[in-house]
Amino acid sequence: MKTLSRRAWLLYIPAVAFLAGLCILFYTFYTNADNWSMRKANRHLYTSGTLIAAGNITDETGAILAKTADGKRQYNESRSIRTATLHVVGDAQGFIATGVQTSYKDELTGYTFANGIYDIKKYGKGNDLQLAVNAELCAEAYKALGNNKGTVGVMNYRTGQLVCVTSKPAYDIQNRPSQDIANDKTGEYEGVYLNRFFSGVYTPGSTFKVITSASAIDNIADIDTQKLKCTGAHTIDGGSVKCLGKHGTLGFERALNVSCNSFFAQVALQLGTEKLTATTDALGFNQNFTVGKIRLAKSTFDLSAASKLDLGWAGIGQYTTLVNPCHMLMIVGAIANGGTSVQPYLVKSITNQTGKTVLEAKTEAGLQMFSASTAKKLQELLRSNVENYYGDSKFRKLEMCGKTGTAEVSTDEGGDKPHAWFVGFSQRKDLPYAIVVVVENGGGGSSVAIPVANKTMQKVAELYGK
Amino acid sequence: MDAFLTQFDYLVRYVLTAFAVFILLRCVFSLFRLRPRREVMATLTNLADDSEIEIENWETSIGRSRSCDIALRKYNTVSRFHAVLALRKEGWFIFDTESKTGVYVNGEQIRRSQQIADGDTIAFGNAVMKFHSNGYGVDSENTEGGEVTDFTNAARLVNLADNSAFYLRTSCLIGRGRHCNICLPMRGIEDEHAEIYMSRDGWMVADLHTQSGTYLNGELVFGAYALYDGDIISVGEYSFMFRE
Amino acid sequence: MKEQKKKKRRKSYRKPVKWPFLLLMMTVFQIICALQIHMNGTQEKTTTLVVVFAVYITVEWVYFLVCGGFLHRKSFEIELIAFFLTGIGLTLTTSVYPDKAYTQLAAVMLGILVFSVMLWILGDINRVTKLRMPVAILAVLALAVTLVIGTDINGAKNWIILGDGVLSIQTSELVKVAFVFVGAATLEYLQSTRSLTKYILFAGVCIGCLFLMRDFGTALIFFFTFIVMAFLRSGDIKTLFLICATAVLGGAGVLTFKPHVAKRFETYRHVWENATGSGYQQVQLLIYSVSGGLFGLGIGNGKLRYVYAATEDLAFGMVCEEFGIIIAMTVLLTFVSLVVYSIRYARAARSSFYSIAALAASSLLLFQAALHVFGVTDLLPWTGVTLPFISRGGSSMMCCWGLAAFIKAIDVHTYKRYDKIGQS
Repeated sequence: MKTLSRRAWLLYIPAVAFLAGLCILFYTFYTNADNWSMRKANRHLYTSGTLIAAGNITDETGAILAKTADGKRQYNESRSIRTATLHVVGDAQGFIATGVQTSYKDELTGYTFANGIYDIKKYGKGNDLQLAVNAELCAEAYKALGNNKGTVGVMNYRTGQLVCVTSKPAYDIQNRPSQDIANDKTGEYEGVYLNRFFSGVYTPGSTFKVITSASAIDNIADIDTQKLKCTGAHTIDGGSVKCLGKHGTLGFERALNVSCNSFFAQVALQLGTEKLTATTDALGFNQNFTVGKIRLAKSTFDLSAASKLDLGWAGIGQYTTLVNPCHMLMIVGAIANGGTSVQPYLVKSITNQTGKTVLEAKTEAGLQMFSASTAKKLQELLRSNVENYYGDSKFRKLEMCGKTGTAEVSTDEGGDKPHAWFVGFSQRKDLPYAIVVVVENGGGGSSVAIPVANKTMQKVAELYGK
Repeated sequence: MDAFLTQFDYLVRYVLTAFAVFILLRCVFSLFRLRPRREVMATLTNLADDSEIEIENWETSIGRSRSCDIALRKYNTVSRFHAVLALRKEGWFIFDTESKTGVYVNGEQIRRSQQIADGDTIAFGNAVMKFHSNGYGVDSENTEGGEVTDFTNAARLVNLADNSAFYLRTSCLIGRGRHCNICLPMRGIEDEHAEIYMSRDGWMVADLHTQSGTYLNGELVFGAYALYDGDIISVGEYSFMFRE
Repeated sequence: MKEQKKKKRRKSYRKPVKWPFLLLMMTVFQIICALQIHMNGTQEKTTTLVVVFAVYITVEWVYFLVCGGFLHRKSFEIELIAFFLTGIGLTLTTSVYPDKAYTQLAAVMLGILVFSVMLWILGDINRVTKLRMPVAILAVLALAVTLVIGTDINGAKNWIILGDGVLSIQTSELVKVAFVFVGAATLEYLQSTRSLTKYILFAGVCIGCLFLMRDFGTALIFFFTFIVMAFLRSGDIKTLFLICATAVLGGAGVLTFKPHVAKRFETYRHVWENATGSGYQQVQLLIYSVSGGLFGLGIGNGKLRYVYAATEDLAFGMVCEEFGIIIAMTVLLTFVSLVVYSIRYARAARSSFYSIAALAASSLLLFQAALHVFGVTDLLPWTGVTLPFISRGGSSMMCCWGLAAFIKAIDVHTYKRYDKIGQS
């Protein structure tokens, strides 16, 4: 019997193996719980592929953007608001990856590993989610984009609240034109599921000159007194950086006003690859940013294989540089905010089924992008742009600072029209808002993007101004 | 009522979980902790060198092989798997497990199995052992229906020489006579030497007017003395510890 | 002082649980379950609900009163666990398949009957020794008969259906008990007949029959149990290694030359890709298991119950979703404790028969639970075996209770007569 009991000891091996298996099982459950429970096959949460157990989504003012009623997901009554907020709210089927209905699925349903979906069953709905955006403002911005594709974003640069995020093209979520989208040949619905503000990347064009300027202020001591000559093009190593006009001899401020390519190509050459890269690194290029749970597309700036000519082009925002609109808004916001960027937020608060607030957006400081003096200088320069070049009449009573951009996307004659950019902010004390406008293939920045920005900012002033 | 129902519905999942976990874990930990008692059930005394082998299992294998419970490795007349000593309902048995040299009980070869009694001499080849059952294996038909005794706390005498325990019931005679409960066939011990019995004051030890006397913790016993846990009773050359 | 402390520790360390309190808690647990079923309305016939639970709770109390009060048994952990798990299974069946509640109750009663009869049979080692051969023959016969007249359900031909489906028996379940019974033997027997040949032959025939029935899960369980028992009997690692190697090679051979067998395992680690096809049940189980959370949704609130074979093949998921992951994990822990208990008591059993039988029975239950739980959650290939005590099914219920009897019999104190040997 002693021998037998000694042999029996070997059975501790399967026993321990079983225990280890239990641990692995629990771990798998724990790590995959969110993923598995949110599957469309989960009939606690979905009915025929539609998320029905999610709570209400409201905008900043409390207007309902999406709710669950009678076992169905329902949206705002106004068609224009439904369309303008499509990409922010997202859809229940998960086509729009950055919509809060998809990216904040867990929060909306209130699923937790400990409680499972019990609370959802109990209260018949999930957590309520209040967005930072203002639905009316989004609708206005969407309308301002007219027939063009593009995106508009407005952020309070003191708090980080994203009051307007809209992306075009969009559709009315109440009746998704799935046939049209599937059979689309005209390009009308190209990238319709993409929120261009968070997930798009564009060539920055002249808006990048703001960044080149920042680098110049930091690194070139006599930039203010330098006078350079523009002959309509600047030749570097056989190639040339073309300019839109012959600006003659001009100084730094004037060059930024008229957006002189020759001037900034020469500045870029003076700066050199290293210093320009250092500045962009400080601004967060080639870095991943998130807005809450939404991941931004990465802005890229890479001069590692650039020739001198390429460096010149890069200095005026062409070359391979790509910028995400939301990232650009953060940069402009940082200039307005005295150098420090604030973390933008899209979700203002989450309230659980019992009415308790479980998440409240807070203002968080982001990267220190510029030194205070540089920011001050840039503010003056951008203000000068509007005052002396675009004209304050374009932005009535807004005290805007800004820079337009016309990003060439095609080198051929008669190719696609350039992207029109506008980035800027208001200097009014009661209106601490920064704006970014991108109009895809819209044409010239000042002719296309400025009116969109103006319309949007006028609405902002109407809503928030005193 | 409605309020009660909603509360019930809400609480029930925690209550059920708590109950289930309590009940199951209580059982699980109990099963993890439970261990059988280790008791010396019998002893085999090797007559060649007077060494004693304690039997703690109901079945014990005997043989030359290393994997036997009692490995008689020095005896080359013992088969590798020679015999099995087993406690059955009827008492102790010895089984010859197809050994070459056979098993002998009190000098007679057994066929396949044989019941053995306390004091029997068992020979495995040339290994000769004396068997002492330690109170186990006595047919207890007559005690059927009695209370189950918890041995851990029962009064008993522990033989200090071999640590075997003798459990006390109502009274117990110690002496050389065969009728005594504890039989000590030694010179200097009288037919009925001492008695241990239960009185109103608990367990007592009495010397039965002997010449050599009975000693309690080294003191000569006159008449009857009360016993306490840990007392040592000496009778002739034997010493017992009283445990309660 | 030190001695006192030691004494105290020793005392508490051997004390089995007090059954009346735990049984009371268990009764409350089951009454709450019944109330929940009633409130959720999953069992429409109130009489059925009341009768099933009343009878079951009565049986529990009668059993414990008889054994604890009249027979003076002391440790009740194994019965408590068995009754508790069976109660969970009964609750699920009553709620999910209202029509089958009575059938399951009858199965449970039969199981408890089997348990009692088995305990009685195991009481006398001579009786056991005499019965081994007839049981072995019966077991092989039963499997052979199933092979001939068995019915194919879910791809395994392991059911005997009598009288137009009035009585359906899964012989492989019943043979499990016989398999353990035959495999265990007294030390005296083991030492006289040291070769494993006869036993290997018996096991080979059983496992072969199961393979032919295409009941691979049960075949695997039998094989594992066989390895455990053969090792306990002989301690011969070399032979066992050889057998294992042969089995692995054979298995690999079957998988290569019979692609339809391999096909059954092709969803292994790929259930999510086949979420609407062959992996459907497993995917549903995973989704709903985590939906239940740690505390479960309450009986009747789950959605896994609408999936095919919810209380049999997916019993673990049902427990997870409706009772919660905590209870499910605790339930699984009990199977480990049975093995540990058997290992601890192996030394003190009345005969090596009891040690081997209890060790084999407990490891069989553990292995079956492992195959069920890890199979259905896609950590191991899914073989569709049931979760002991909890899954619905008469044959498996009898098998589990029969196996529990082996574990119970390892403790000498189960039998009063032997408890008292030693008094003089």
